[in-house]
Amino acid sequence: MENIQSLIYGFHVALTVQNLIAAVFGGVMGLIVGAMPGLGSLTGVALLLPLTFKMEPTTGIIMLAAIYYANMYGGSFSAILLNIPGDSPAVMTALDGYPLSKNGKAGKALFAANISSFIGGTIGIIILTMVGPALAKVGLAFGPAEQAALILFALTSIGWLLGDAPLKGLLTTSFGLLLATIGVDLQLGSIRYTFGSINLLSGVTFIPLVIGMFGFSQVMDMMINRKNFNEIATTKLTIKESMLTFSELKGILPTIFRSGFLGNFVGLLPGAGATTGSFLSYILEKKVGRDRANLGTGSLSGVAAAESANNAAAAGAFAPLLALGIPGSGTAAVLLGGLMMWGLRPGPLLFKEAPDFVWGLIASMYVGNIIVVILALAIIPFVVNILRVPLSIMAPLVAVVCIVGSYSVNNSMFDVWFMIGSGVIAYLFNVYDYPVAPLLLAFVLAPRFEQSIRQAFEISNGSAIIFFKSPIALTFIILIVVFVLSPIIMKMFKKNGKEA
Amino acid sequence: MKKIRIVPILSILVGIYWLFFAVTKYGLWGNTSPGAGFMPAVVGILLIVFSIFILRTPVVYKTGALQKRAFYPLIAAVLALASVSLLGMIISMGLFVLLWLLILERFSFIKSAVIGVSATVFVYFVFRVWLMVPFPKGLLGIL
Repeated sequence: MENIQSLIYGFHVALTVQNLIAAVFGGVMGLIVGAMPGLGSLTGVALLLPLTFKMEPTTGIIMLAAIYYANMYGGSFSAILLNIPGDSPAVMTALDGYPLSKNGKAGKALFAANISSFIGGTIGIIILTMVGPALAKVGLAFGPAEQAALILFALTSIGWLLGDAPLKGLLTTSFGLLLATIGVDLQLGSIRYTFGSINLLSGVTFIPLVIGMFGFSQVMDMMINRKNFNEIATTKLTIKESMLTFSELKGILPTIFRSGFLGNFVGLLPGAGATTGSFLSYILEKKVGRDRANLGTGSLSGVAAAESANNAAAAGAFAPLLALGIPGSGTAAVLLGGLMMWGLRPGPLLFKEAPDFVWGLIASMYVGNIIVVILALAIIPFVVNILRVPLSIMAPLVAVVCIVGSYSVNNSMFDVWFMIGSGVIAYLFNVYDYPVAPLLLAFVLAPRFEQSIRQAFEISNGSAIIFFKSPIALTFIILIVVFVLSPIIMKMFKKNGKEA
Repeated sequence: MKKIRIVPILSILVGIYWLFFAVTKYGLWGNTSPGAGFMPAVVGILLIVFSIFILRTPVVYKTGALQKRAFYPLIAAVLALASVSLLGMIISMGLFVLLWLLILERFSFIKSAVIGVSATVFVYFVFRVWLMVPFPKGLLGIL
C-alpha cells in the first residue's frame, strides 16, 4: 500500500512537462540507437550521459532510463527486417523474426515484438514497484554455485537449437565455448589464445561476431539465393496486414507473461542482463511453449519470448541498482555512474532519502513505456518499406551497415575484420548445415559459467560439495540430470517397446 | 550426397591445439579452483569427441555447394577496408556501394552514384556527426 502511495506521488513528478519531454526524447533516441547495429543501450546511455550534467537528477535519470528500455524495442527492428540484431538481446528475436519477414509477415513480427516488449516491460516495472527491493535481495541469494548450476542447466538445454543434426550443433556449441576462452583470464591474469594480438586481450567482442554471423553471411547468401530475397522485396505490406489478429495475440500472451517473469528475474541477477534473459526465456519457450515445434522457423512466440524477456530484464536491472547499488548489466553500471555524478548514493536508504528521484523514475517508466510502444507501433508501416528496396541495392547497403556497425562498437578496424571473418565462417557453416545459434548462446553463457564455477570452488576451498549444499544449485543439478537422461531413457523404452 | 569431412577434421586440429596449451601452458587446477586451462581443456576435448563422432557416423547430412559468386562481397569488403587507410572510412564506404552497383549489379553510373552518395551522407550524418563515431580519416584526411 505504501508503495502505491509512493507511486502516485511518483506520477506527479514524472508527469511534469520537462520530465515528459525527457522521456519522449530518451524514447526516440533509444529506438534509433537500438535499431543501429553495433550501438547498444550501453553506447546510447554513455553518449547522452554528458547531456544530463546540467539537468535535474530526476529528469536526467528519466531520459537515460527511457533510452535503456526503448533500446530493447529498437533492437528488434533491424533483427526482424535485416537479420542484423541491433544489439545483443535482439539475437534471439532474429531467429524467428527474420524468417517471419521472409514469409511476408514482417509487420506482424514487428507488432508482436513491440507488444511483447511493452507487456514484458510493464511486468518488470510492476514487479519493481511492488517488490523490487525485496527481490533484489533474493537475486543476491544467487551466489556463484547457484549461477554456475543455472548456466550449466541453460547450456545443457541447447538441444532444441541443434536442428536435424545434433552432433553438428554440439560442435558449433563447442566453438562458442572456445571463442569465450580467448583473451585475458580475469581471475588469474593468464593471457589465453590471443596469438600475440593486443586486440584479442579483452576477448572476442560479441556484437561484431553477431553482425558477421547474421548480417554479413546473409549478404553472401543474397548473392546466390536471390529468389528467396526478391520475393520479400516485392511483398507490399498494409497496416492491416501488420496487425496481429485476436487469436494470434491470444496465442502469444502466455509466452509473453512467462518470459516477462523469467526475464525480470534474470535482470535482477548481478551481471546477467537482458541478453541472458532473452536466451533463457527462449529456451523455456522451446521446452514448454505451445508452438515450440516451430520455434526458429518463423514463430510469433519466438519473437514474443525474446522481446518480452529482454524488456522485463531491463526493468529488473533497476531493482539491484536502486536498492543495493549493484548494477545488473553494463548499461546499469553507466547509470550507476550517473547516480553518483548527481550526488545520489544508491542503496537501501535511497528510497527514503530521495523518494522524488526513485518514485519519479519508476512512474516515468510506466509513462515512457506507453510512449515508446505508441512510437514503435506507429513507425511499423514506414519501416517495413525497407523490405521493398530491391535486393541489388539492399545487399551493398547491408554490407555497409555491417562494416560501420561493427567498427562503432570499439572504434576498431580489428572488429571489422573479425566481423567479416565471422561472416565467412557462418556462411560456410550454413552451406554445410552447421547451426550457428548454439555457438552464440554458448559464447554468451560461457564466461559467466567459468567465473561462477571458479568462485564457487574458491569459496568452498576446492570442494564440490558447495553445489550440493545449496538447495537452488541442487535443484538445477537434478533438473540437468533429468533433462539429459530423459531422452536416453525414453529412447530405451521406445526400443524395448518395438522389440516386444 | 557427398560427406564433407573438412569441418570435423579442422575441428580436431583446433581441439588438439586448445587442449595442448590448456594442459602445458595455462594449467588445469589452481590452489583451490579450476586453473586458466580448465575450461579450454574441456572445450578441446569436446571438439575432438564431437568431431570424431561426426566422422564416424554413417549418416550423410544434407549440405549445399559453395559458389564463387557468394564470395564477391568478401572480396569487395576486403578491397574497401584496404582503401580505408588512404581514403578514410566514409569515402571508402561510398565507393564500396558505387563500385558494387556498377560492377556486380551493372547499374548505370548515375544511379550508382546517387545511391553511393546517399549511403555516404547517411553514414556521415548518423554515425560521424550525430553519434560521434571517430572513423579513420585516412591519409587524405577528408571527412
